Amino acid sequence: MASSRLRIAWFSDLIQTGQPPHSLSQYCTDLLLPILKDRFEIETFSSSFSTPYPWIKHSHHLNAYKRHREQPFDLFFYQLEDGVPGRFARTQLGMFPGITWVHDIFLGDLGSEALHTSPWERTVAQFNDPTLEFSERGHLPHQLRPHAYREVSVSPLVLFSSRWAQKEFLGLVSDRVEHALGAHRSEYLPVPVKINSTRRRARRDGTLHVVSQCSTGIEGHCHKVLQALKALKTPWSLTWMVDGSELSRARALVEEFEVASNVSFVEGRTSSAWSDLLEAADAALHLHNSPFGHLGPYLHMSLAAGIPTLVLRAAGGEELPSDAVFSISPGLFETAQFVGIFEALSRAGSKNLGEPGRAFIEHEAGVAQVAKQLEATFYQMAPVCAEVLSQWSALYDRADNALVEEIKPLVDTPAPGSPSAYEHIILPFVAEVRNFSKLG
Amino acid sequence: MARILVLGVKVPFTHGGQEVLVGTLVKQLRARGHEADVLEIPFNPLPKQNLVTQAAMWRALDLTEFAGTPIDLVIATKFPSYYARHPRKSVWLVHQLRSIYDLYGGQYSDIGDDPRDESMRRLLTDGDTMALSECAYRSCISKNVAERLKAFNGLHSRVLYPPLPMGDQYRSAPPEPYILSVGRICRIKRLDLIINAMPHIDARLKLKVVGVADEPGAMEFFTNEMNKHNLSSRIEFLGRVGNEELLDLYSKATGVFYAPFDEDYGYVTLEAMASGRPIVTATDSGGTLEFVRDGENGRVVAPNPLAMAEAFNSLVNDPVAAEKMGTMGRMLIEEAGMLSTGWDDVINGLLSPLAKSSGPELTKVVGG
Repeated sequence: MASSRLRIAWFSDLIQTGQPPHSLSQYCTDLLLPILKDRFEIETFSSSFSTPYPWIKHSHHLNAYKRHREQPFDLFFYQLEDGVPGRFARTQLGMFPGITWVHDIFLGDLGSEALHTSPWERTVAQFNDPTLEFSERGHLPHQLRPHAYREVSVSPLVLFSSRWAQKEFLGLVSDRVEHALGAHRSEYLPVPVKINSTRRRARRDGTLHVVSQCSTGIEGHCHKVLQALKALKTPWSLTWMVDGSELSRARALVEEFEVASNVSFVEGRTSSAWSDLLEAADAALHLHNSPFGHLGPYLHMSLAAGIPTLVLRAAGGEELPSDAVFSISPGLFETAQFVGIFEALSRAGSKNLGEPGRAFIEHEAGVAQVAKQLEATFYQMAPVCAEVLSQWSALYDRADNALVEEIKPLVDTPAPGSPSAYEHIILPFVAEVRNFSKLG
Repeated sequence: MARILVLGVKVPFTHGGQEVLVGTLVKQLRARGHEADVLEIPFNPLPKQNLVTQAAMWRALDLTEFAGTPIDLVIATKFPSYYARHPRKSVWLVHQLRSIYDLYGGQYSDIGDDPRDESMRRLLTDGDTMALSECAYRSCISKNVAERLKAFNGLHSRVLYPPLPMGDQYRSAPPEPYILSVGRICRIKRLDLIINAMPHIDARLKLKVVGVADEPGAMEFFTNEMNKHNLSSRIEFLGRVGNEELLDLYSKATGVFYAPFDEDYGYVTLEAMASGRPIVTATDSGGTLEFVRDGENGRVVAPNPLAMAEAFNSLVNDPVAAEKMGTMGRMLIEEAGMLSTGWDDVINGLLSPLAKSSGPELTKVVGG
């Protein structure tokens, strides 16, 4: 019996079996798929032949067109982010337009080589005007621009996992998108987080246990933190999670500030290691805000664990409500602000100052909440996507014909009355393959 | 005895593993008393729309008989030779059109996101599935190729490793201070990895490069890389060499470099092993990894010049370990039947459709 659930083609970088997530797409997919699989008929696509989720049908992204032909999808859903692992999704989006969940509005990576000569502006224009012909081969298309112009142009709905990025999109990008599939729509959909079911109890050993995953560069503000911690009169400890490449720099810093006996290190940034650290923490530091506004999953995890969380009031950090986090204004009095907050936390005793943050994030980005939002979005957008896909399919029919027409001059200069290679070799071949494809 | 056509694809003025494989296969068939010949059509991949023309040309060929003489079996090898029609078609797949499969989206593919390109990719992918699914016997030259065929076209196949072209003639001699690189000179073979490693490699070692360029601008690019590092006194381009000279070069190399990107199979790996020389390859070299084990019979390192340099320096600094790797490689080749003995399995597999009393009728298999 045919299923009445929507069929979703889910394009995302996937975790490797047994490994923690290494990208936002991996992280989000890992949290959401187990919930959404019961509500939709989902198939995953990635650049790998294998999947860590044996309970969901998986294919290589290059086979998406075959799966769509065999059993059409109602909508295509892509997670987009900067960097090599997400390249395939950006490429594939140009083959089947769909809803995008953009984790990076600024794409520093040019994308796969398949996009470097992409005529996407012409393609979108042809989508809107079926009378437009395909451009001549060999013409250099417009340069790709960094603000994901191509990606948002072929997306009927763009979801942003950062409010800052959405603002940036509405202010800087949206108006400049000259060719697009219909009207632009954008919504905010935060990075989900698992909410601890048991409320955290404050520790009472008299020591303030601080955890950090800030980078060792100046943008991580760790020198200010170390200065502030050193100035504390009460006992404290710092557990610092750093990438292996930063470990020696981090060690040198704590030596420089003469606080080595209070600091321990965890090598390698992973969400599972961070989760473990939060178990015994009294305060979590999130001071390295991306200049492009992303707050990342670690901050959400700290809030969800009910840990008092210190953030820098800059870029994405400005978007958080002041009662949910402990905000630091960057600048002259930064160290004094840190000292003040650390002292307040030391004095707090059994009072859990992280509870407002936990309540906020549960409502904002709890995994159940985000799944619900995404579910509603899929149902709402399904009719729009159906229309777009049907029109897109017509564009591809025109491309099929244009390709065959392009071959004609390559093979055919028949003398009058002599057989035409185009008619006798090319057309029967194309017809035979297409007939085979139809029969499956 | 059967009349057999081996179907090859020839890019004029180039010579690589495929040509070696086709030539050796025909020789082995004839040695077993079969009447075997090669049918080749020149391959021109440019402009890229021509790829459809190439497939269509092969498809137009009905090889059931020539001038009233029946052909008992055809053996196809690589894209697009398997498009030919014959009721008894075996395939020993060297590779498909990689630019629409595993190389898609990377620097070695010119297929973009123009809807016409995507239309062509779909047409040729479906065409491959059609042409390869009608084969009476399907095999691939390596696991790597077989896995791609399964993943992209949903078709199962057997793996028949090609035995080495010079059979039992490979030999080992005391090493001399040079690294040997063998193969077509083109970007995907990544000769630049070893050229850029040379400044970091023990200055006593030279690099000898066997092979000719088969890509526009490739030789200029690699020569430029060499000159950039002022390495002309340490690198020697030998061009194409004869079999005896090649055997000699293999036998005395301190180590052999072979680190292409996601290779289908790689004769060079096995020839180095058969010559008792340690091979250095890369972690993303594909088919070579089916044979090379890091530290056991060669080195498998990251695809960057510093890692390559470290690997070759380790061979120089520890000649006993290097010799042991070479010996282990030779043992693997002997045990796997890669010398003369392995041919029986290959021929038995490829000729198995002949054992059936009659082949399937072509008209029934076309179209699925």
